Amino acid sequence: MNQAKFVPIYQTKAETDYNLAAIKLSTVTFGEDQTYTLDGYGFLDQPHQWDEVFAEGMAEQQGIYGGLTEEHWSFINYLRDKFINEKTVPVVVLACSDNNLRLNDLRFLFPTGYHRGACRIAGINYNFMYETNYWLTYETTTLQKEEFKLTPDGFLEDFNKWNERFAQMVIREWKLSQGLTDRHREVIAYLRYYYSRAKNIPTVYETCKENNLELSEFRELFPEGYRRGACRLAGLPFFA
Amino acid sequence: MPKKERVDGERLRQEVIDAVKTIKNGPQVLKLYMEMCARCGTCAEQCPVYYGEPTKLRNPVLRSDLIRGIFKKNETWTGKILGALDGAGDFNGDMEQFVNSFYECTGCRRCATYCPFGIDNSVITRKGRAIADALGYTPASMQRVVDISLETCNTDGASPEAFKSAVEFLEEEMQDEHGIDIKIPVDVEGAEYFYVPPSGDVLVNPEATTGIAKVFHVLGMQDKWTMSSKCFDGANYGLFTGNDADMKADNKPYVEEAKRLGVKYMFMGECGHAYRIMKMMMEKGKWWGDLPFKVINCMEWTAEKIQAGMLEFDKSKNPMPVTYHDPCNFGRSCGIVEAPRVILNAACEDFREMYPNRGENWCCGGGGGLSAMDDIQEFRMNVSGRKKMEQVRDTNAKYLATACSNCKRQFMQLIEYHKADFQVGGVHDMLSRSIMIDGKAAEHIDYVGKMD
Repeated sequence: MNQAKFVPIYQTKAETDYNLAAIKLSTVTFGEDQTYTLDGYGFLDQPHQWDEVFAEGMAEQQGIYGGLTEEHWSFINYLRDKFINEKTVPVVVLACSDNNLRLNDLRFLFPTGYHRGACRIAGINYNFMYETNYWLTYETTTLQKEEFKLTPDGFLEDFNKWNERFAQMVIREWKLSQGLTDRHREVIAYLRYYYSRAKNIPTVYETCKENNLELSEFRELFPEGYRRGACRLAGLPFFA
Repeated sequence: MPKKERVDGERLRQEVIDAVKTIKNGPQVLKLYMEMCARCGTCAEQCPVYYGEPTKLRNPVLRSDLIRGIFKKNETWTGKILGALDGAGDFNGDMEQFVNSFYECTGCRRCATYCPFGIDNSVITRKGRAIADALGYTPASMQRVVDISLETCNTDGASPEAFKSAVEFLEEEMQDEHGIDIKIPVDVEGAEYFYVPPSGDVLVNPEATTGIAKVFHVLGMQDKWTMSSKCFDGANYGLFTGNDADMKADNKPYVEEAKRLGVKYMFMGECGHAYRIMKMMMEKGKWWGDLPFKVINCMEWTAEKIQAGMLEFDKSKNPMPVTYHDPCNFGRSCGIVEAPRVILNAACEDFREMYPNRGENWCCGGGGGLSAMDDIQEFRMNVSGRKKMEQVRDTNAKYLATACSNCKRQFMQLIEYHKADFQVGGVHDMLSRSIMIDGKAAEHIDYVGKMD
C-alpha cells in the first residue's frame, strides 16, 4: 500500500496536508453550555464528544422541533450501535428495512434526510461515512429550507398551510416545560374550526369558556397572550 | 490484485516517455489527435473547467500538450527538428502536476463537439490517466472504488444477502404505495430482460428501480425480467482510471451472468458510463465475442412504451417545475436525448429545458469519476460545477432529473455547497410517482403533509 495522498494543484505547497474537513472546523453549543467541534461538513468531528444533549441540540437544527421521540431514539440507537460496535454505516434502504420503517416514515422523522439528518444527529462524522460508502451524498431528500410563509409579525400567511410542525415551531419559541400538549391542541382545534366557519375570531372569554379554561391557566398555556399567542399558534391571521 | 508500486526518479521519466511513444502503434485516432491540433482555442471556451477558472493548465489544449509535447519530441520529425516551435516539449518530471491535471478533466467530450478537427481531449485524458495508473499514481480515492468493485462486483461493497433484503424492502414499499404486489424478480433463469442499474438506484435512492418494476407490472411482464443478486451495479471505474484490464475484469461477470441467466436483453439502467461501456465498447468492440443477447437502455424502452400509449400517468403528482440534465455519457456519447424527455413530459406537469441541452449540454462537473473524489470537492464546487449551477438556476426548476449516479452525487453536493433550492433525482423516479396502476397513482405522502 503505497498510495500517497492525492493533492490537487490548486493548493499551494504549504497546504500539502490539506484536508477539506480539517480547515473548516467549527463549534456549536447546545444545552447549558456544552461545546462540540464539527468538521467542515457540519458533522460531529470526534465521535467521543457525542452525548444526548448533542443529539437533542442537533435535532433541533435538523428541523425536528418537538424534541426527539421514542421512534427517533430507537433509530439513532440503531445507528450508533452499527457505528460503534460494527464500525459501519448501513445504506439507507437497509437501515429502514432493519427498523421496519418506510422511506417516507424516515423522511418524516428526519426531514433533512438519512445521512444529513439521522446520521448527523447520531454523531457519525462525514469522513467515516465517506470511507464506508462514498455514495452517501447520492441520497436525494429535500434539504432543510423554509417550510412556511410567514408575515413579518410571524403569523402564517396561508391558513390552510397549517400543520402540527408549524405549531411545534411556534411552541419552541415559548420554551414551555411540557411543549405542545393536548390542552393546546384542543384550543387550536376550536380556534381553527371557529375561524373556518366565521372568518373571525372568538373573544378570549368565549375561547376559555368553550375549552373549560381559567384565564390564568390560559395565560400559562399561551405566554404570548391570546392574539399573538393562541391565534398565531393556530395559524390564524392577525386581528388587530 | 497486487498493489502497484509507485515509480519515481529517472525511471519515472523514462517510463512516461516510453508510454507516450507507444501511441504511434495506435489507436489511430489518438495518433491523429497528437498531430493535428491547430491550437485555435475553441475547446477552451467550451470547457466547463476552463470556464470555472481560466488558468493555464485548465485549458484543454495545454493539458493535452503534456502528452502531445512528449509525443512530438520523440516521434515526429517536425518535432525533432523544430523543437518548441512545433510544440514539442519534454516531460518535466513533475508527476504531481501531470496527475492532477488529468484528474481535473471531467472527460465530458464537450470540446470534441465543438473542435473543428473533432479532437476528443477525453481520449487524451484517459491516456494520461492510464499512464499514471500503470506507474501507481491513481488517486487513492479512485483506486478504492475500483478495488471494491472488482472484489464484490459493486461499488458499495454490498453482499448478495444485503441486496436481497433491499429488494424485499422495495417490494413492501410498492405494496404500501399501491396496495398490490409488484414483484422485483431476482436471479430468475430464462427471463428476457436482465436489469443492470447502478447500485445506488437500489440501495440509496431506489425510486428509479421501483419505477422500472412498475412499468413491467403495468405491461404484464412481471415475470419477463430479472435482476441479479451478484451483478447489480453497472458502474465501472476502470473507464475512469484508464486501466483497460480493470475495466474488462469489472465487465466480465456481467456478461457471464447474462449468459447464465439466458436473457435476450441486457437492460441497462440509469447509468451513463455503464451503458456506454456495454453498448459502445463491449458489444461493438466484441470484447467477449458474439453475444447471445442485445444491450438496450431502459429509458429508450420506456419511452417506446409511452409513445405506443401503453402507459398512463397522473401528472398532478408531479406539479413542480422539472428540468433534465443530459449526462455526458448518455447525451453526447450515446445519443440518448429524446427518450428521457418523452418520459418526463409524460410524467410531469411542468417540464423545462435548460440551455444549451442535449449533445451540447454542459457537464455537471463531476464527470470522469471525479464525482467520487471528495479530496477535490472544493474544485468541483467552485470550478468545474460553476457553469452547471448557473444553468440550473436559470431554469428555476425545483426538481432536476438526471440519469446518472455520478451526476446526482455532484448535484447533491452542489446544492448543499451553494445552498440552492432544488431536488435531484432520476428520470424513472418521476415516472414511479405518477404512473397509474389500475387507474390510480402511488400514494406519495410528503412528510410535510402527513401530520394534517
